[in-house]
Amino acid sequence: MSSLRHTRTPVMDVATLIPQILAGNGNAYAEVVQRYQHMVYTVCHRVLRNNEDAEEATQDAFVKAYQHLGTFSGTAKFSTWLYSIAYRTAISHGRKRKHDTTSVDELAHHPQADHDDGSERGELRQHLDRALATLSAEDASLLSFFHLEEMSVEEIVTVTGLGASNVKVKLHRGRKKLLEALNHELGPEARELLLAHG
Amino acid sequence: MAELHDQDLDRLFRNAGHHQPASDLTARIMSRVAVTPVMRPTEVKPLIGKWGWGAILLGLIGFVGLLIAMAPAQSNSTSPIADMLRNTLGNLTLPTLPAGEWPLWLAGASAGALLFVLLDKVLARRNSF
Repeated sequence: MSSLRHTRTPVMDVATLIPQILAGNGNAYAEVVQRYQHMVYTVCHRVLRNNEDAEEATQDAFVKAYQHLGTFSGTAKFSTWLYSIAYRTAISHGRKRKHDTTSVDELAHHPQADHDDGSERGELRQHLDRALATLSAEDASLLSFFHLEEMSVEEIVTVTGLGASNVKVKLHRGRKKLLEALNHELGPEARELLLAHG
Repeated sequence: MAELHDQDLDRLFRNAGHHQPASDLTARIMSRVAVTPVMRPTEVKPLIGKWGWGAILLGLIGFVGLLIAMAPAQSNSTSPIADMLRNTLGNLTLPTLPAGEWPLWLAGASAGALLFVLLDKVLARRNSF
C-alpha cells in the first residue's frame, strides 16, 4: 500500500521555487505540478466525479495558477491558494457540464473509479466515493478538505469563499449524511473493508 | 454488525488517500504551460514621486517669495511674512536686461516657464523607462 502513496522526496520549498518559475524556469513549475497534482486532482474529482472532467479541470487549474503566480503574495499557504483555484475551476467546469449534458445525476451517483481502482486502496476509495456521491459536490469537497487535507475551518473558508458558520453547518450535516450512507447503503463487506484499514 | 462513527472518518479518508490521475498528466499540463505567459502584476507608480512634489512645493514657495520681495514696498504693509521676505530677499537683484530693469510680470513668467520645462523633462524621462 505504501507504494501507492505519491512519493515526496525532500524537495525545495515552494517559496524557493516561485522566484525560479517567475524567472522562466519551467522545471521548477514541473516540480510544483508533480508535488500537488494528486491533491488538485482529488479536489476536482470530488466535485466532478469523473476522470476526464477532473483531469481537464486539473490542467486548467494548474495553467491558471501558473498565469497568476506573480500575484501570489505569500500571506496564505501556497497549497491553500492552489486549492482555491482548483476548487473554483472544478465548480465552474461542473456548471458548464450541467448545461452540456443530460446525465449529470447519473454521473453524480455513480462516480467513476480513478486510475488506481485495481488496488485495495483504490477499492477503498471507490466505496468512499460511492458514499460521498449521496452528498452534494460542495459538501463532499468540504468533508474531503477537512478529513483528508486536514484543513482548518478558516482555510476552508479561504478556499471556498463560504462563511465560517456555513462551513461548520455543512461539515456537520455532511458528516451525518456520509455516515448514514456508509452504514446503510454499503454492504457489510464494504464496511468491514473500510474499518479493517484502521 | 460493525458501524462507522464520526471518529472513523479521519482514518477512513486518510486510508482512501488521494485520487490517482493518469501518469501523463504532468506532461500534458507542462505542454500547456509552455505556451502560457505569466501575468505580471501591474504596479501603479505615481508620475511625480514624494521628492518631486517636495521640489515643486519648494519652487513655488521660492517663486511666491521672490514675487513678494520684488514687489514695490508699501509704507503701510502690515504682513510680517512679507516684511521678512522683503528683508531677506530684498537685496537679490536680477541681471539687467538690455531693455532695462526686469518687470515683475516678466520675472514671474520666466520662473514659471522654467519650472514647467523642468517638470516636463522629469516626466518625459520617467515615461521613457
